[in-house]
Amino acid sequence: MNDARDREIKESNRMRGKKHLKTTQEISGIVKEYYREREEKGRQPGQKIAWCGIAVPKQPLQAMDVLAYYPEQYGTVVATRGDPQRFIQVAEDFGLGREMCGYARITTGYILEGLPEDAPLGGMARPDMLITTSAVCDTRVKWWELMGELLEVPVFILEFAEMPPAGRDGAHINPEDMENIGIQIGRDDAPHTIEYTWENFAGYIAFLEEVCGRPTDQDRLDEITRASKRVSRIRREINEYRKNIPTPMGAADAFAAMFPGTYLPGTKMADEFYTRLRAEVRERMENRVGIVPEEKFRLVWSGIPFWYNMGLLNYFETRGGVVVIDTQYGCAALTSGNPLREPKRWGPNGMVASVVKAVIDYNCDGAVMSYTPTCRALYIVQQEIQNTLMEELGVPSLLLESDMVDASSFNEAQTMSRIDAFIEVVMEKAKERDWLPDPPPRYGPGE
Amino acid sequence: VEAFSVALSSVLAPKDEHNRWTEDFLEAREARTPPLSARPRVLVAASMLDDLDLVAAVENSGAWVVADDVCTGSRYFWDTVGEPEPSPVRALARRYLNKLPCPRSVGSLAPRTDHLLSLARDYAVDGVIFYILRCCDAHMFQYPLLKQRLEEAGMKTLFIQGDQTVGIDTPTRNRIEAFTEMLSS
Repeated sequence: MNDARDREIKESNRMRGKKHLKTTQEISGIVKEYYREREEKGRQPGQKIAWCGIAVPKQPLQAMDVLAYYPEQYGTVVATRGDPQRFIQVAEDFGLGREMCGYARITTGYILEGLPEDAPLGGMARPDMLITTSAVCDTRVKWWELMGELLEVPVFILEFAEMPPAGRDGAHINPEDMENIGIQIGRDDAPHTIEYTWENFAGYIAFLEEVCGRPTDQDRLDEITRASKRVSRIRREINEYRKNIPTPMGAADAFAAMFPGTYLPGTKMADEFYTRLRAEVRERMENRVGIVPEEKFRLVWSGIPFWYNMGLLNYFETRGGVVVIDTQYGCAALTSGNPLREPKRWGPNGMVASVVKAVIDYNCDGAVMSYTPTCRALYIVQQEIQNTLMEELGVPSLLLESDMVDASSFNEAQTMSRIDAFIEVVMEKAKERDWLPDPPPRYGPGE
Repeated sequence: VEAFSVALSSVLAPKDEHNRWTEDFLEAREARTPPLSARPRVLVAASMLDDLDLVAAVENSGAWVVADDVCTGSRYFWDTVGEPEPSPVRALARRYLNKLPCPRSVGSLAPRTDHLLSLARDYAVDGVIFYILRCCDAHMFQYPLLKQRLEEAGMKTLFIQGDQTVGIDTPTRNRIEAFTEMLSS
């Protein structure tokens, strides 16, 4: 019955996203299985459960057999499969304001409702601990503290250093730096940041050991870390193929495909999923199968997408364009950029530079930015990204204002007319695209 | 309003000048008849409150602001520095690290709750006005629990959201007046 209800809600969503690849169609099932497995395991005695911020390193959790849920991810589940207003309303009645993070409002409402079993995909099991990071989003720290009060469980905050701007020689982003959902947690040219992160990482391990009541299995942690590096490499290889014209995979598929790599990085399932995905993307690339018959323009997506309205990404396809890449959940590829066009501005946590580089690396003509006032950490940078794209590259961009999960903040008519006007500008820009000195790299089978 | 002005002056003015003004002010103040009217007693909890129109509006509505938990109010001077040994700098650092925490600090909810409850008790407070700046997550995430705990202790509360512009608008003034009326009845 739940499946039928689930389907009904998804079908009724006017702007439901469409995925083009066969492999990415599996994601819906993978997410369901993720929650089903947790529901089953979570009932077993002695099983420790953590609710974690998205940037929390997952490998130690996997090595300690901690069942992890990610409230932000669950917010997207509620937004795409359920009725976000059910929980948002409860949180707002409690006293959280409408201008606050939509993910936080959904989770707080869910807690205040008593973690109801009829929540989408069964909800998140009651946690033994809460863990988050200070990286990029300072909202999480206060949000996690509030959850700790409401759920009466310990909270651990893993502090990451805020990255200093790169030197005057120009910003340098190592693709590997951008793997942890695009958040840098240490950089070679600023060794103190690495030292600081390591110290805090040790505290994180000690906290897990204390709650779980046993030491870390170092061999297992090493094995999982190696496995997750392999997964990252496959993901970077897929991103490399996406540079091709026409692109074999766009952001509409990639936003779905990020799930195993982001939440289950060191697992066999993730490895097998990305291996299948890589094969499909490579085959499409070799056969020059794009997302649209003829790519008239290519776009970067900056920021969190509107999860209740993923069809927005497909709308560009109806006008002959593709959102090729997004910078929020890892745009790193195996090779990087054009040395003659290194970004001049770095921006907080490299966020400005990452969009500038994405435009160049992926041969794009414009950027679409989710302008989410409820997500201050991203909102505050988007304006600078917009200005920098125009000043450094003459590239147009579009700010779309809404929350990422609160559908009531989205103005569809206004948004669509702005998109239509933006597409006209981007089409003109596409005529003079010349970011890379050579044609985009091609990778043959077996490489 | 007067106490807030003195506190704000202590934040902004050179200390010796501020002390001189305060002494003069207190002397003049003590010479005047104290206000006798029994009015509802209000505590204001806020982050920055450097424009005092809000406090004036509360007092013009017929209530007294008798206590505060505000960065630019009593939180600025509440804790003393203590003995300047072994060095004044250490004493200052110790004071900054241990003072009444701003909600941005991790673990600040419990000490803030205790402080607000004891202020409310010590100053016989009838109602608490929260003035929180828009998008100030540190305050916003603590507000619902503080409100809950104060109301459990028998206090009435009012939430006002601001954006640090100067002055207050008519709807806010009306809400303050309604709050005072509720406290009076």
